[in-house]
This record gives sequence, structure tokens and C-alpha cells, in this order.
Amino acid sequence: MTATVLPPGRRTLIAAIVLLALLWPTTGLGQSSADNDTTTFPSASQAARAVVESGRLGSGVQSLSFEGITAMERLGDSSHWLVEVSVSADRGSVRLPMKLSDTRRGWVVEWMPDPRYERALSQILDGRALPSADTADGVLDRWNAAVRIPSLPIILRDGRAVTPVGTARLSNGPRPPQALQELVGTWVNDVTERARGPASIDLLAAPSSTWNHLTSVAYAAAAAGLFRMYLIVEDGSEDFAALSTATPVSGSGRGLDPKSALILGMDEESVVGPEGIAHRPFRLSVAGELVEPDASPAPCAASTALCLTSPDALGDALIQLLERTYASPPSVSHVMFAATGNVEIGQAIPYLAHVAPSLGIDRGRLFVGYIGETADFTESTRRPGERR
Amino acid sequence: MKPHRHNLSAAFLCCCLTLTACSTGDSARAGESKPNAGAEHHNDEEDFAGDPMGVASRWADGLPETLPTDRRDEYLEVLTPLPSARVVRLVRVGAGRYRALVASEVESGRKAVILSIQRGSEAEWRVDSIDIGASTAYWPNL
Repeated sequence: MTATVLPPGRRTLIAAIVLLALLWPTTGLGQSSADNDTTTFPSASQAARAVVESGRLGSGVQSLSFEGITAMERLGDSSHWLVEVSVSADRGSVRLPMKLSDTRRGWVVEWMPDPRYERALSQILDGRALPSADTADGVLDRWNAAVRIPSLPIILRDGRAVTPVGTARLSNGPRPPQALQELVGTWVNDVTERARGPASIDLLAAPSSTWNHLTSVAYAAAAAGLFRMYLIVEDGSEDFAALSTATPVSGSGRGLDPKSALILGMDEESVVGPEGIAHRPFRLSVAGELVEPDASPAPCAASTALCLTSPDALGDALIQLLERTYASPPSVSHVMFAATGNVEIGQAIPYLAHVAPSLGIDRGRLFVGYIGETADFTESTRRPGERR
Repeated sequence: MKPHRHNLSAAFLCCCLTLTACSTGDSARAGESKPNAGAEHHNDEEDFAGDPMGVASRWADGLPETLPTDRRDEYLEVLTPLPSARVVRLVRVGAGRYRALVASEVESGRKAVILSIQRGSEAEWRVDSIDIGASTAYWPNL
């Protein structure tokens, strides 16, 4: 009888994958697999690969395959690491968070995303159902190539926010529901162990989601200190792209200063001209002053600054308006793109994607904002980052 | 016709800027980051095979012997206190290329030793160069 002898490393990996599959149900948030004396791996890469290749992540519409680790962040003084891996599917590559621990015996899997998140991610992949942002080549980063530390991914669809730590139903308004704040709190407190580095979210929104929903997520994230928001979009290439924005953090000294900000506001209702073409009205404020042309751009209303028929027209129209209005270019340190609550994300993002390149500002200075009655969230909004 | 400007207290601006709910955000999270531009993307699984973290960890475990002699004192100053220096972050910066930060702690204003880790011609991972940079490199920034 003959037997194929595998190299020791290979045998270890195969055994590890089998063991991991058997022991998987015992691994959950706040439940260390190390405590259960589960599988150890000789390296972080092999542990991450085993998670992906176990088949559990392929429980959705598409099966995913491991491409590699994109980022690892040590969580405080502990042996825990927040890890983000690149996984590929038939229709593109995505980033997926997990948590590993570097024990004396090897690497173990501490936590991985809720299966409902993986299913929602698979559905997004299957339908390629993300907003389109068709900008010039090179303007947007490939999502999987973004050089950064791990981020909290949130999928917006069907009025729900699906995260790796659970799902929350959203309200029709911009106020973040308590359940969403608690999910963000779980991420900050339990998954990242309040490490200071991870301070961003990836928003994968169905195009039909509203600006109210985006605002809900942005507020919940910002209140917990997650101030960078990557909007994951399609830009016509094979892979997804990431549009970097900032959540509306103000008053911190690092955030938006209204006196040096340019604010571009998108109205919900488009206006159809006599030629039958829909025009999208925008209002504009620079350093606290509303900019209004003496003659409103037809066919939009009097307070309209820009009346556009396509996102491609935004850049030139905005620059021309600023040049006509100001003798010398205004000093703009930050830009906010705001919209009314019922604007669909799929309508707004194509315009949003053109703002930073048009004005030549760093994408780190592009904020998202909200037009409407915001009331004061401060009174009723508990900081999700605080332990209860 | 020349456009005009005027001071505004209209609802538009007020509402846009009624964002103080978020002013409680932890500004201490803000730090420095490197730009994303120029990062490469490859789907070839072989680009990611291997274990750059293992290479970085072994380098940190071997301190101070792993330090190059020409800037040894400078590195040691960054890594003080040396016994607690360890790998705190690993980020892929391109196909077959990673950066690992080695520091005794990560705080804004502090520095870290940054290892450039690349795949060699025989697919092995190795430390290609060593430098000093911000310990908050690759943090999100405003």
C-alpha cells in the first residue's frame, strides 16, 4: 500500500481547515475560539485563508476565495488583531473583516462576521447593485487596493443596515435608530476593543436607499468617532471603487469649519425643461454666504445656483459660477455635499463623485451633509462608543 | 448677468451645518495617513501567498540585533522602551508589498520603525528596507 506524503505545513493546514469547519459554530463575538481550545494556525495568513476556504463565507449567492490579507491592526496591548482580507468572487473582489489572536501556540480565529452580513454581501456582488460613479480614470481608488487599516463595513438595503455585528432597521428620517447606534457600539467596544486606529466605515448602499438612510449611518458612525466614510461604488471597471468622504464631524477643531467651507446642496425634485430633459437643481454656499445667480438657470427656480442635466456637467458649471461670482478664488478648506432626505443615493453619488476632482481638493476634505430639519440629535443620542 | 452674493441665514445653510450632534466624535482618532493613490490591484492569488506578518514579527523579536548599524541609535530612540517594541500594524501597499509598523506604542506625534516587506524572486517574503515614520501612518485622516 502506498500513501502520498504531504509536506508538514500542508498537512497542518488541511487538518486545520477540517478542524475549523467542525468547530465553527462555537466561534462568535466575544467568545474566544482560543478559550475553546480550537484550531491554531502557524501564521495569520493561514488562519485567514482557512476562514475563507472553510466554505462558511460562501454560504450566500456566490462562493468567495481568499486573495490575501490587506491590513492588520493590533488591538491595544492585547494579542488580538483586527484583520481585513481580500476575497474574490465571480463579479469582483471585496474586503472582509475578521479577528485573529496571536497565541503562544499559534494564530486562532477570534471572531468573524455575522452570516447575514455575508449573505447580504453576496447579494450585492451577485447583482452588482451599487451606485455608479463614472468619473475619469484614476480619480477613484480600487476598494481592495485602498491602503488603510481595517474598516467597519455597512450594507444599506431594504431599509436596513446590515453589519458584520448584526442588522438594524432604519427609520424614514435621518436620526440614527438606537439599534444602529448599538451595533456601532458593539463594533467599537467589542470588535475593535476601543483601539484608536480603526476609525472608518465602508458604506455599500443599494442605489435606491435614501439620503436619510445614509445620514443615519453617517451620524451613528461619527458619534462613535468613525469619521472616514468610504462609499463603495461601481465606476465601470471590473472591481469596485471607493469614494473617500468624511462623516459630519464638527466642532472638534479638525472637522468642518463653516467659515471656510463650500457647501453644495442637492434638491430632491428634478425640474423638467421644455425640451423634456430633467434638470437637477443645486444650491451653493461659500464661507457662509449663499451664492445665487441674478438670473436663475432655466428651468430651475430662483434660488438655484446650478441646474444640471448630468453629473459630468457639475465640474465646469461650478467653476464657472465661482469665477463669475468672485474676483479672486475663494479659499475653501473643506467641501460638504448635502442632499435632502428623500434623494436616492444612486442619484446623488454620481454628482458627489465629481465634486472633489472638480475643485481640486483632497478627497479627505469632502464631507457629506444633510438638508432638512435635523432637530438636535445630541439630547437623545447616546454615544455608541460608550460602554453601557 | 453677474451673480450676487448675500449673507444667508436661510434654512439651507443652517440645516447643513446643524451637525453638532457629531461634535462629540473622538477627534483623537484623527491622525496621519498615506495617500491611497498608486496602489495596485491584482487578483493573482500568488501575489498574496506567504506570510509577511511572520517576517515582521521575527524582525521585531530579534531586536536589537536586527537593527542596521548605520542608524542604530536613531532606531533605538524610536523603539524606546525596547522591550515593548512589537509589530502593531501591517498594511498591503501593492501587489506583493506590505508595510509593517514596529513601535512600543502608537500615539499621534510618536514615530515608528516602518518595515518594507516584499516578495523576493523565489517567492519568499523579506524585509526590503527599514525607515522611520509616523506611528499613525495609514490611519484615516481629516
